[in-house]
Amino acid sequence: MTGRGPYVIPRAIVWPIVILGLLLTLLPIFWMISTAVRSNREIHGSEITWWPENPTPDAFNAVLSGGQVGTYLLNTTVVAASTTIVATVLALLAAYSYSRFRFRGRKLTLRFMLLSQMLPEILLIVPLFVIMARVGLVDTLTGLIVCYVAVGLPFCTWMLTSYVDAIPRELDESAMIDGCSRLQALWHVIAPSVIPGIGVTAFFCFLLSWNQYVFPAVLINDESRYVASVGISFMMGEFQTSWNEVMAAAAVVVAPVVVVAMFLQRYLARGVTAGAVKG
Amino acid sequence: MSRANTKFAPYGFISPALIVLIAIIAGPMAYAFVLSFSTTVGETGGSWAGLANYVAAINRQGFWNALVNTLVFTLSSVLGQFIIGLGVALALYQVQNRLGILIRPIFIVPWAVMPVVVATIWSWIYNPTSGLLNGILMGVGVVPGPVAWLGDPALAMPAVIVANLWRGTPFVVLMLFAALQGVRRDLYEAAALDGAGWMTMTRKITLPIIRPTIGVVLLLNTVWNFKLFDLNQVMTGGGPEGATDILPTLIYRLAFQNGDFGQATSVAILMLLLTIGLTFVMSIAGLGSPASEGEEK
Repeated sequence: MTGRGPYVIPRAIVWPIVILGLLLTLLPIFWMISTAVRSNREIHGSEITWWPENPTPDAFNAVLSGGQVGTYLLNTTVVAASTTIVATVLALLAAYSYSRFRFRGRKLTLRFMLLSQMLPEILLIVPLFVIMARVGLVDTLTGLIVCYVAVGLPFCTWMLTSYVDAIPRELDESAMIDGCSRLQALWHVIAPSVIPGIGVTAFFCFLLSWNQYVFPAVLINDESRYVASVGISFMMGEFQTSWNEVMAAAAVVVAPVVVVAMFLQRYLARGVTAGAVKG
Repeated sequence: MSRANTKFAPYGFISPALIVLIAIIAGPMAYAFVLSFSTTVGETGGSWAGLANYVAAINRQGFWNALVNTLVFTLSSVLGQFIIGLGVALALYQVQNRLGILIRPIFIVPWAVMPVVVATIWSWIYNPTSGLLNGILMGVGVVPGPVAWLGDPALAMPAVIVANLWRGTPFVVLMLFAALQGVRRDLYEAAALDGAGWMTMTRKITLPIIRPTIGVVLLLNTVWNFKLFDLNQVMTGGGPEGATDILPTLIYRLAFQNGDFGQATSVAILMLLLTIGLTFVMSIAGLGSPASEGEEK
């Protein structure tokens, strides 16, 4: 069976499944783009065409020049990038500890991380809203970043622990014999050797923060601080929804992360598997 | 590095992460617990209310409706995503040529799409007057006139679930495909020499080897689908007539529309207990659990 791959399902249905899967995967994406390049007149016709008669970038121009979507994107980027940096650094420190030490409370804290991974965000947001209001973090991007870091940390720590586990102890131990402190060993020896792991973890964290909806929906009222998810949900909720503009905004918002995800596809699975399945 | 240094070092490294988790997760959780036993006065907890909030929550008609809907939504999503995902992963695994490598990244796309955007795209597809679905179905004559997919209590839940299958299946494909890559080829070649057909190979080789991953995927997906809020909130807001109302949308309404934080947190705590119970049952059922990670090796 050289070149044809292993025989796990009947050959006759392999391509039908793959092609159907591809079509169903791409159809909504295609429809999003096809709608985004329509004129206002063309989206409300009762006649439905696959592709507009006169494709136009009007909807893209409208959402980008109005400034609103630009603001949403900027806020989302600031929040997601800050969260990613903070969460990845904290997770790497914790991962180093979990990988290299056996200490009292290790199991307990790992269990606690597992539990926080399972918590419904909606459970957290009710008390968090009250607390955030009291400390004055409602309507601030800082408030969002703090929440996102906490939500992303358990998964990031998990993934990174398995990557650090794969680095032989001798490496950092010899660095410490050479006079490095633990922190220096982590920074100069371990971090460079787990760069791929850090990259995948950081992307997961970024994606999670980029796509968040519950926290900003509750914590942000000021329109100048909307993030993309909230902005788009309001665009859709408007009395007379301009679907071409909603789809144009949606396309702009999902394009960057989707493209990166496609490039990282092979490493993503390895990251989750490494973090979740042991051996 | 002295002995004392070594003794405290592990705590030094985990403390920044732990402090954040205690402040943003453990603390609020404890506070939610307190709120669920308090009368609600404005935005803050009032006096001790005993089980009053829980009793009131359970006696709401909406509670049982949301609970049943949550279970229906979670179960059909997890099963649907798993079955379709397994089929696609197996098919992709069998296409080991250059074309296969080229198309694999496409299958990840819906997973990276923001759930709110998934909700908007599918709401537009389901749009009664200008939506794609009605356009196709009326074009081929399956339905005589426009159908209000999200406006009909009988159709809304299946419609949201379909959108969620689109969103969630790629993760299953990604994970199972990666697990399949770890299966040694010569096992299949040896089995083929012994005259084994594909069904035997699937049962005796493929499934047993990817079993741990299947367990993790089912567990993670159950937890994630169970708490998914964005799709139902944006597509229908729980309507029509509560047909797509799930526990998260109910909690959201109780807290931020009715301002009843006591009842909202009591429903949230019940939901958390359900999550824990569900995952517990699943790990008992031997589906494997990420909990085994981090045990003393």
